[in-house]
Amino acid sequence: MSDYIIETHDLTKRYGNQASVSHLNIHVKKGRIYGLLGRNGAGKTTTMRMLLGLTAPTSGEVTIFGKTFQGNEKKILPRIGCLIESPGFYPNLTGTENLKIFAELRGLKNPNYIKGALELVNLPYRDKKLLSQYSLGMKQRLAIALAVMHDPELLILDEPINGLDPIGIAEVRDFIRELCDARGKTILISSHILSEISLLADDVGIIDHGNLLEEESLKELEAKNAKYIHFCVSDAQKAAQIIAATFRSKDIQLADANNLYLYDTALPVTKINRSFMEAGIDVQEAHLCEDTLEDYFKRITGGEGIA
Amino acid sequence: MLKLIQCEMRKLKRKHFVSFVVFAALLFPIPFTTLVLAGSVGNFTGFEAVFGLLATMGMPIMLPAVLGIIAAMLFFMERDNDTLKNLRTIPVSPIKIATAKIAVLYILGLIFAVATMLSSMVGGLIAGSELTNIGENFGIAIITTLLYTTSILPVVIAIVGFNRSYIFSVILTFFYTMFDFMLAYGGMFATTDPMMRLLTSIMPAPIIYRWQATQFVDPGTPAYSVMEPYFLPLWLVVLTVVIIGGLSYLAIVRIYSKRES
Repeated sequence: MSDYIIETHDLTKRYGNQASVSHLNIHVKKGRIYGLLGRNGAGKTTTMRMLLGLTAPTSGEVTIFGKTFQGNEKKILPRIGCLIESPGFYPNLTGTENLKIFAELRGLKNPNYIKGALELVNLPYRDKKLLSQYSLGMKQRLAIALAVMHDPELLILDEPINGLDPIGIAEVRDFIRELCDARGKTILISSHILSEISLLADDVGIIDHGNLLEEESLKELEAKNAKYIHFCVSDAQKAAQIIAATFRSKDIQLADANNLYLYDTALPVTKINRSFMEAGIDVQEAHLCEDTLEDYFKRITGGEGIA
Repeated sequence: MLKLIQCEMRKLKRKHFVSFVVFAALLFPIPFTTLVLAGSVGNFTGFEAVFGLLATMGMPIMLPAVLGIIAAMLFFMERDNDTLKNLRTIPVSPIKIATAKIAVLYILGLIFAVATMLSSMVGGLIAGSELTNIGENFGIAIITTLLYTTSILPVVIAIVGFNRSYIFSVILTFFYTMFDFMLAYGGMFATTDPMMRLLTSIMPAPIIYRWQATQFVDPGTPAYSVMEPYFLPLWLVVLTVVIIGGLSYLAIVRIYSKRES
């Protein structure tokens, strides 16, 4: 059996001539948090909907818990908790009443399931407040409570921090981390907020225009991030010639007349500085830099940054 | 399935229009009791007259109208609240969801029947008569309710299929109810047009009325000789309505299943 809890094989969804998701192959490992990162409209939600059988794929296959999803929905879905897009609840009912409906349909008779789930997300049990009076953040918390209520092995959470305040975001982040670390849950989480993925995920899949551009562990991604020495000098052109001639390195990028980036970080900065000064070049700044995940994201998507 | 029906009922909590089902059943008895107090209706007096008017004129208008609106509420509920995805990922099949919603229509219809029965009894007492044939009349009320609830299912196809606004559904429901009612009371006797003949033989209200007439028109009366050629046995009415209902049910679950949550 495969080590992956979720595996997709050339998963594709087309709407007319437009491919929303194209030949996607993702691999979610057991007991890890997989962050699906992409801009709005990149295909994250469509992918998650296909994983849950809410949208039929045009082609390709989904394997969850080692079983092909199609035909095994009744066995697979009860083991999954999910939050897809906006929270969906009945506005004329209270939070507890809403959860009770879904708990009954899941066959959860013990009210402690509901109570426990609400406590996890800091919402009161048997509160009289109707869902129509809930803030977006409260609805989001309730949706997370619904996703974890039946103690699923796998959580599929689409933008779970939407609508939460900064404290709420930190709480949900800690809570998701704890579910993975302490309870061994496997979690697939999507976000367009890069910092969230970098703070939470163990593995990252970068999706853009429906294509999976990169799939690696966060550590591998961070290791890939470019390191360089940034020099701010009076004459960058002349400084580049000195580096090439004296230190025999061509791994240089001229940003403008005063800034240059040296990617060969093994070279001695102090000696380079001295050479510049001897050649009459003034050095305003020299420091070691590292690309952020955002820089990496920009580079591989070939576009603008992400929040 | 029972659990699903219970959940569907629970989803209607605090929906005030549902209380209107009972209120609607209490509306017609007021003018009908007044009418009966002013004089007898055919050979009937008191309770029998109030009940007869309710079963043949009150229920055919009020029940489909109210149930059509409730059907729109039930079927739009998951769409408007984005809850179908929660149900589908449990997983609950769309066929079962649609079936449970239709079952709720029947339950509310039966509540309407009981409320109609009770209100006609109150009306009968006000009209100063004894309450006779209660069991038989209750049976007629239940059968009438089941038939009219089934008759609303073609409208539910349109509600689910078009998936438009509540206003659209209300207009559609009222148009269907009034057209059906007019066929029962106007079309059947007013014309010999073959199309009209066909419609009055397959549309629910005319055929239900043709069965009800066998229950309410006494032999030997002038009305009997007029109505007698149009009488239909209950089994034929049930068969026709069940065919309409069955085909409608299949169409509803098919459309609902194809809808992405």
